[in-house]
Amino acid sequence: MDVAEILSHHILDHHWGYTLGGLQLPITTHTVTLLSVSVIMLIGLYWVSKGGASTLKRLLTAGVEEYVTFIRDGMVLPNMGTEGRSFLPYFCTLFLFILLTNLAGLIPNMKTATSNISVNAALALCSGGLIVYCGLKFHGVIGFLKGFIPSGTPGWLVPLIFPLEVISLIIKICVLALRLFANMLAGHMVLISLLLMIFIIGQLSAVAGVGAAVPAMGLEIFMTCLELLVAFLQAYVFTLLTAIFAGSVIHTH
Amino acid sequence: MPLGPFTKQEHLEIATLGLQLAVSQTLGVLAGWWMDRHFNSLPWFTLLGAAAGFAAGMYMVVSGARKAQAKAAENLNNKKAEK
Repeated sequence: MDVAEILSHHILDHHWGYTLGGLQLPITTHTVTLLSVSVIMLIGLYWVSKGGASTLKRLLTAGVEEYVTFIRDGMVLPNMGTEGRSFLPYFCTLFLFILLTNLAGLIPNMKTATSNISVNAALALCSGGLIVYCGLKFHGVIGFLKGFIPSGTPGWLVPLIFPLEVISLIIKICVLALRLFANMLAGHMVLISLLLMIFIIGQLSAVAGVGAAVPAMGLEIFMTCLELLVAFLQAYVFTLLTAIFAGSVIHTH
Repeated sequence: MPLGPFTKQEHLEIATLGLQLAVSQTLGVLAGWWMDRHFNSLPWFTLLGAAAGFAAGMYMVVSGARKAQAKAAENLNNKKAEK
């Protein structure tokens, strides 16, 4: 049994190799997951927004309203102030998109697209773009650049501090992508490793393999519950940190 | 749950500092290594990148800790004023 091959098959993206008139289509397991989540979000939220008299519709509408209030009062307003109100749709979309993509990985035969660094890099680039846009919108180009220099910095230190602050912002955006990537990848590696443990021990002795299955499955259930928590937690952390960084650019002092 | 002198958001910012130090060091080394491969000058740019990454990381940790300390003092003062 090639453990490394099974691990990589479970974690890595797979190209389905469809071609259209000689053109290789970029259809992979991760892109299919991303597109599915996007379509579900578009159709589902549009359906909920239409409203209706049925109990289900009213429940869903109340749920979405509660969700938007949670993002607005829990993340956007405390960190960005009233200036952040116009960016509320971005944060609502970001949280729900990351959450659904994380949760999609727990469905059999689907993949966690957020365990792909390219997906997270694109999300972090969007958040980075928003942070820079906030700075430019509320302070202008000169004001935004001045915001990188902490108040009370002596003039001779400015050439040293300014690039360090710019690099800090870039690294903060990189860290956003890496944290989500590492957490989602590690969770799935642990899940498959626990399952593989049964077969590795089973190769030594069939009885030991059956014996190992009981604790391994217990741990597997525990880790799946933990993954469920991590899916929510990482979506929350990504959105909240974006709001904090955008807020620190808006309220520079 | 008691959060000490910090808010939830500040806790999250402080928890990020360690990862920022690690990422800045790694990015510095990778950038230096890429330059070394480009200019065929191993190991000088890698060493320079490692030093620059470490400096940037330490700057972030120290400035983050100072900001957190200032916020903690501000939060404690606010709590005292409320009492």
